[in-house]
Amino acid sequence: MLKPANVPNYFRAVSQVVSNQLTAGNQAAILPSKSIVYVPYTGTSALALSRALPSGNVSVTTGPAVSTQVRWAHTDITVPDFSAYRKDSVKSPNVRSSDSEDSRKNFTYLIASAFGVGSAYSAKAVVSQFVSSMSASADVLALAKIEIKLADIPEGKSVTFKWRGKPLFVRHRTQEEIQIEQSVPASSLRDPQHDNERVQRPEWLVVLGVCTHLGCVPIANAGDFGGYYCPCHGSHYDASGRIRKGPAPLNLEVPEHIFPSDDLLIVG
Amino acid sequence: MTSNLAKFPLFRTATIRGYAQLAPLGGISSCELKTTVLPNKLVVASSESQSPITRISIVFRAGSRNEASDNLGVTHVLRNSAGLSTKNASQFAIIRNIQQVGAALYATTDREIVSYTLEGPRQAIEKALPFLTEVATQQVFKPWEVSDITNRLLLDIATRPLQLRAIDLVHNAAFRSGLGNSLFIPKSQIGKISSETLQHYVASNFLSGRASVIGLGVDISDLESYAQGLKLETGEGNDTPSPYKGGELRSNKGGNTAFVAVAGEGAALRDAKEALAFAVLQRAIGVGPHIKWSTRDNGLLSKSIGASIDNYASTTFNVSYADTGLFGILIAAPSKSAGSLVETAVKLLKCTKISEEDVTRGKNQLKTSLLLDGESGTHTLQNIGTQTAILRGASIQSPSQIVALVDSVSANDVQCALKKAAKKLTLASIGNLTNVPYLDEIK
Ligand code: FES
Repeated sequence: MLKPANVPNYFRAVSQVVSNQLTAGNQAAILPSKSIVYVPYTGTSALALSRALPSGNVSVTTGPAVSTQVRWAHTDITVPDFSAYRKDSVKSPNVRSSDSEDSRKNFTYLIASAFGVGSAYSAKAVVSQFVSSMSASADVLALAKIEIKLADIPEGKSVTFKWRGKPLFVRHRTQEEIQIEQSVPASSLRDPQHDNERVQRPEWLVVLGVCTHLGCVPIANAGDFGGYYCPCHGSHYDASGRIRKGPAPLNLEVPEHIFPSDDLLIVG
Repeated sequence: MTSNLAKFPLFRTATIRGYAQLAPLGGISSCELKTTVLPNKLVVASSESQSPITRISIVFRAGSRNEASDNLGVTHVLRNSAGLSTKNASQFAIIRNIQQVGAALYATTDREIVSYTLEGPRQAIEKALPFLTEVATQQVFKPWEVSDITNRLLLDIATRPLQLRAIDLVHNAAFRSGLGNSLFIPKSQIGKISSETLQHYVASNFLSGRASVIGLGVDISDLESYAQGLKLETGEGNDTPSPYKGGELRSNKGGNTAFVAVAGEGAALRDAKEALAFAVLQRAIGVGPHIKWSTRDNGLLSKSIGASIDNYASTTFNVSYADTGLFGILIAAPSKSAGSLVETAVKLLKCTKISEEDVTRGKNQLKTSLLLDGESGTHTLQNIGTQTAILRGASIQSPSQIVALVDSVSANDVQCALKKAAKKLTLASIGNLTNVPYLDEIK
């Protein structure tokens, strides 16, 4: 406040060097830190100045996205240095990078192809491991085949074996049965199959003992057709294992089998 | 957001014509300028220059001379608020839609006018025109957007070059208020120009009787129908005269260079004859080098300074406002030599006989620069904009018409102009003022 009594103080200025704590200091104030602006240097030569002096009406133009923008300059952010990752051959500013291009490329190609071969090889190992896991295991494979001595089976008998956990019927058919089954016309059947399609040697019928209806085990030498009869729901199969009566839709399944010799049958 | 912006079926015919005959990029600079005044006193001026670039400007007589002490700096805020959200378009919509079509929109202010200009290829203008209407006439000044401008104001102020501040100072010294107001907001006013202040300023100055719509590369009838659709309050507002008073202002900023402006009263724009005489005088005294890499011109000032000092730059400035003008010499020199240069300049203004030869040289230079400037659409648009805003449709002339009038200036007119300018001098200086004399020290 400019009080009359104070006026003389405004005509001279005093600065206290050592304070005796008695004289009150001047008014307290907070000094703001001044923001510093770096204006692009446009030169102070006569030429630069003569180009910059205005000679007519001075107007200022601005507009949305036209002239002024406020951007914050972050000078505290260091520019990342990637030289630890760069190849030595391209670090020197005095050497053309195209000079070392071939050797750099060759090296890259070498590494790439080495990795390519290596990974193809290991990929193959992985793939074959997985694929082989899908095939049957060794103990299953051991049981996968069954050898049957045919001499043990008398004519007219159907013998049951266990093959891959399922019953297997091997039937030594009589001449009479063969004739009957051969003469059945395929067209009259529910699942039309001629006898010849089901047997390799007419005397030997090899079928799975699983009823095609719901999977019971049929009884041999029973039923209306003298072949097999399923007691569960009454399916009648003939001596060729073909469905003739009852609810089953298909003939008994014939597994893969071979006769390596006159006396031997291998199923599987 | 943009749904209620009307689309104008403008420029269809013009587009076809524009492509049918290939005109130079800047357009035909000598083409006819047509002017009409609408019933609400809005002036429409247009010239179909056949340029592929169309420019449309909405000009208001609302420059910084209309600021009062309580709203000092409002035009600076207004200039930077161009493009903020308006009644029907958001800030984003304005920028996106204009940039999408490849047009540009900007606001220009000087002491007399505030103008909003849209420029771009013809088809682009058609799409972007509703946004020019929005930005120029439908401002809302949302307070939070206005307060966001503060940093741009600070930046603008901080980056003013000293020569610009010398021009500001010389205006301030010569006219004190009114035309003495700066184009930039004073630091003390930053943060004090509120949304209401802006709205009030716009409401009292953006009136149809103070406005004009200018087009280059657009047909007058198209522009007229556009101008009729503008929603402007009618009225003419009030003009406060700002007579020349003269005085001295110094701002010692240190550094190496001194920028000194010595000025006297110039011609009013309304007095066309005198304005031309001053323009010729300006060229006769010299407006800086015309030759590449040269620092000297062949004008009277360079001649009277002679070859003894060579590290300086000088120009003569000549500005005409509605009711008065400012004419003077602006010198930039190292502080050592500034003193003698200023003395020479004052002497030149006070007592020089202008010879016939100087007048002829001045006329030739003036004609050349008028024609060269006339080739730039931006320049022509600004020139016509100022004329229409101030002269209101009376005797508005295109650059080529002005050139035809230059020859009518006599040596006597030019001498009278110099006499008028020297009657009462103003001195404004900024920079290192160690050797810059005070006005009353100069004999
Ligand atoms: S399971 Fe054999 S008949 Fe149903």
